[in-house]
Amino acid sequence: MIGLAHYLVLSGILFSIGLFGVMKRKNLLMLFFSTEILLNAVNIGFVAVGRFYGDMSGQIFAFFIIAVAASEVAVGLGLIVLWYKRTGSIDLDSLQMMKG
Amino acid sequence: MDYILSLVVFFPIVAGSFAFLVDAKSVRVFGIAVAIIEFFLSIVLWLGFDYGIDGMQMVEHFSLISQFGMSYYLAVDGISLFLVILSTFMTMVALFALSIEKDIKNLIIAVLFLETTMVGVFLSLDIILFYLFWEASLVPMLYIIGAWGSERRIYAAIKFFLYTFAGSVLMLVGILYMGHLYYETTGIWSFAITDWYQMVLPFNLQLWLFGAFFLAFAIKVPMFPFHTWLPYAHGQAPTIGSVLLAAVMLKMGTYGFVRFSLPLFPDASIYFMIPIAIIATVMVIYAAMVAYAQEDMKQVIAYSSISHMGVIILGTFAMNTEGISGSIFMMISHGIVSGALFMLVGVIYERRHTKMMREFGGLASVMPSFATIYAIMLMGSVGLPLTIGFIGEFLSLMGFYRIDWIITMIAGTGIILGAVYMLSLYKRSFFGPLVNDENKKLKDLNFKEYSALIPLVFLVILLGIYPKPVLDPISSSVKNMIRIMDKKVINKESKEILYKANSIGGGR
Amino acid sequence: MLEPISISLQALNLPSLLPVGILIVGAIFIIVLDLVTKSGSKSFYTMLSILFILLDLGVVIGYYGEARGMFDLVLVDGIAKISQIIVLVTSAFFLLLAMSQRRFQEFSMAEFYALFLFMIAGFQFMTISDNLILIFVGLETASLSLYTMIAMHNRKKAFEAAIKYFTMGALAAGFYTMGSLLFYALTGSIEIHEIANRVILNDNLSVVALIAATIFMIGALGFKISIVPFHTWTPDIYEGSSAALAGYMSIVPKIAGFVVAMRLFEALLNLNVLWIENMFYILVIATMTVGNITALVQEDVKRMLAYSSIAHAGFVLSAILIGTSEANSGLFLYWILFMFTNLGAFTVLWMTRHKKNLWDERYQHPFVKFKGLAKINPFMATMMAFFMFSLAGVPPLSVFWGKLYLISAAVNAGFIYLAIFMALNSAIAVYYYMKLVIFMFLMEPASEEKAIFTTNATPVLKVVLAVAVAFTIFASLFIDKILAFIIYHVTMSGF
Repeated sequence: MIGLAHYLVLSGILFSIGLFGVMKRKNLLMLFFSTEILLNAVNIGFVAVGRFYGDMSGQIFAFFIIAVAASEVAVGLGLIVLWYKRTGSIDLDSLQMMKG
Repeated sequence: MDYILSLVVFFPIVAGSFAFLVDAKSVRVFGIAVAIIEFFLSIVLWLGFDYGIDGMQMVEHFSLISQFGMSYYLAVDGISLFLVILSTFMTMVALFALSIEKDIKNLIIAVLFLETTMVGVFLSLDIILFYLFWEASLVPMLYIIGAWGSERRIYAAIKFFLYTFAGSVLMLVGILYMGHLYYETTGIWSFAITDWYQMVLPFNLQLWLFGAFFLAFAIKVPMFPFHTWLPYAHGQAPTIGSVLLAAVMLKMGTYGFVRFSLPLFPDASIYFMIPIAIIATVMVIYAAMVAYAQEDMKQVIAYSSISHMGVIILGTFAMNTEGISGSIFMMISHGIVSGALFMLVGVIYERRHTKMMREFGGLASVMPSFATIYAIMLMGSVGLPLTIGFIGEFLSLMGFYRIDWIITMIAGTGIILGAVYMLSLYKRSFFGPLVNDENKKLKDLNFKEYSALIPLVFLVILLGIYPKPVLDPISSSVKNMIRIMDKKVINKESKEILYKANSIGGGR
Repeated sequence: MLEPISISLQALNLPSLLPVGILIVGAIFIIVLDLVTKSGSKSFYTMLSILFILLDLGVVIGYYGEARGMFDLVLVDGIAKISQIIVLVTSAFFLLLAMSQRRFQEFSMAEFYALFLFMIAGFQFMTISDNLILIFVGLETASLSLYTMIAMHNRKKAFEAAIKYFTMGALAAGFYTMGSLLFYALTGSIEIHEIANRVILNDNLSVVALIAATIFMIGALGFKISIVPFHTWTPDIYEGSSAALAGYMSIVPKIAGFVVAMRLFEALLNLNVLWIENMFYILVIATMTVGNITALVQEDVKRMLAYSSIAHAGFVLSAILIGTSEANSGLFLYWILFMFTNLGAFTVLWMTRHKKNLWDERYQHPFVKFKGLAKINPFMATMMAFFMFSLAGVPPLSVFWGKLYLISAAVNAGFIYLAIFMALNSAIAVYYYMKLVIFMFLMEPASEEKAIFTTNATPVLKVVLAVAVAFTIFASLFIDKILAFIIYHVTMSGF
């Protein structure tokens, strides 16, 4: 029997993976994927908890997160394209003009 | 005449703003004119002063930030009256002697702004307003030291600013806590000092609040461990900066003690009486000894300032009419004398571009009038009877004699030491053979310098012989203040000490 | 199955959404206008956007209807009203900075203005709701527009700043949603007041989960209002974006963040969970102190101002820790005063913007640039000095009153040590503000060329500067009125 706890654990594991990716990945594209994982991990949790309480707002929140994640990707990819055109690289280490 | 106090406070800053539009050639004359008018305004204030009232008079009071209880509250009493006149007078005289040409316009504006803040500190009775002027006075002084000083001026200016600013932020917390306490007890927000006088505080709270206020005032005075900024600032500041710093700005600290610390926290003040007296005595002797070791003429006077401030503190913490009146009188006399001495050093520095005593010697033969005025000021500084310096020192020490004769005796020797270093300075610079060739063609004082120094000489002698017109209003206001303290004291021991301090035949 | 439900328009309370609606319509209008005609110029779009903002402001001020609207999603209470006014007034002033002398690519594009209006709408959504979904949507709308606007500055540094900001923002969004999820899982609600109520009612609640949720939320909002340790992006982003936008970022996103933090954290702090309070205490002090200490060693004025804005944010955050209505009023008062002073400081930087980095390879506004400015351009130097002393809290300039009021609030609520920390921090801060004043007034100028300091100045910018300086100097005269307004609205909405 799969209960709420399992979903929450899954959500937590995915969130940790996403967080780990954000911290460790040097490739900007991978970094953005990781943030997507973060958001989707939360989605699983929201839907599961919403179902558990029999309350709609969890699922509504999940929909909104999906919408926001989509627009975030649009802006993020735009920025990466710009950066790639300028520098020819999408490595995180190329972002180091400003330090200190 | 209803708004004479506001007029005295804000006239210089308004006139100073107009100075932006005056062209650089005539701005010096403009500045002097403003300073003279301001001085006459303060004289008008004195003429209108009612000697019969020992409390606050000419009150101007209206609410400024009502949710917060902050008000615009100016008033004058015998304690502040002469400090205001001292500020306006010294600013005027310092501008007479001003010989700086560089960026003269900015300098005049800065001095006039400074004058407003100095007068404002002495006249405001709302403590937030007081704090406002207190902090604002740092900015023009920072500029004066930093822009017209000698080589290491910027460092000196920063040191001056940071020391005094850091000291006063804790006072701000103290002030706000007092305001909170007043609100707790009465249900009204008020930062008016006359309201706070009515409030009796528990002893341990008094100790903490006294500490918060003490730090700000002690740095400004400057008291012994916090004094290091002062010689530096004096060493680098231009003459006009040193004059105003020594003559007026240091007095803000001692005025703070008299106006705030003593009447607000009487028990704490009495509790700390002996430790502070010991610090003051150390300050007198230590500064005198350091002064003796200095080569630089200006540093000698800077350290002698610290030494004299020690006597003032001693008088203030004597907690009796003689001591406090004496210390207030000494604030005025020290203002005049040290201002004059810094001006005299400025005179010789301008001619020789050095302040080192070994460069001089035998100046008396080339500059006789300079030497004479210098001698008179030295007498005033040493505290020779019949000069202005004597009365304040004598009264302060006499006041503290009732508390503890040993400390008084030790501090008294400090005054003898003062005579030693001052006379040795005089001997090394003015007597003996004229060895240095450069000194041979020095010119004596010019008109500008005479016009600044003669009024000072006049005051030193006049007030030394007949101090009554100044001393009377001071002591009646001080008596009033001691009555307030007496009413508020809660500890039995403090009450006894206060009683002993104020009765004849006290002492041991 | 589904039964038809009828909801009267009355119950929706549409006027509560009208202010935001105006901006969204305005933004769409600008985009359409750009499609139809290509003749719109910079000044045209600026003025048009400001008109929309003013219209919005009028509606906000004039709104006296029900606080709740749109199925209780919208909450227009007193603090929402004040913060919207701050957001709108600030936006109008900073938008005026677009009217600069030199041409910048972003200001000639209609999209910039549309995005600007969308962003303001986003911030407004954040302030007028206590529903976590709506706050999230508002937050993201605003942030996504802001990333794009930073990148539109079209310099390599600007791209770098935008990408850094974006990455941090995406992470913050992750934190925010995770925090919301935890609150939702704990209480079954996503409305802040409901969450607080249910936490109180439910005794056997997991405190660990509550603290975890709080930490995620602090992380998310901490990115927005740059709380230490989530502050590291701030100086880089400020450095990369134009001075006008950097100044804007130091004020508006933060006030929106503060309002959300106020709604959320004050409800949590009221629960008297020891850990949450301690955590906040540490955060407040760390933010103040780290901001101030790092600002001491900066070589660039813009970076210095970035760190100083972190320190100011920490200072203001103490209001949320204290949590009395006096402190909350102090927060708004402080931010209004800080806004005008920072507007002035960034306007000066914006006016001195030069095509090349003449003074330093990397920085546009290093300290050495301002050497001897008092001799070259005394007027500008004096104004900048006023702003610096005001930020330092020298009375009687504007920010001093904010500090005074907040420290007093701390003292009145019994937070004596906090008050002492706040006071000491303002003493540290004096040093770096004074450093600029010393560079301007006490040092000799490197070159006498007057023109390089006004390459970007126009009459409009000068007017903005004059307004800022007038407000900074004469703040003491009308603080009484502002404070009365704020206190009325804050106490009315129960904070």
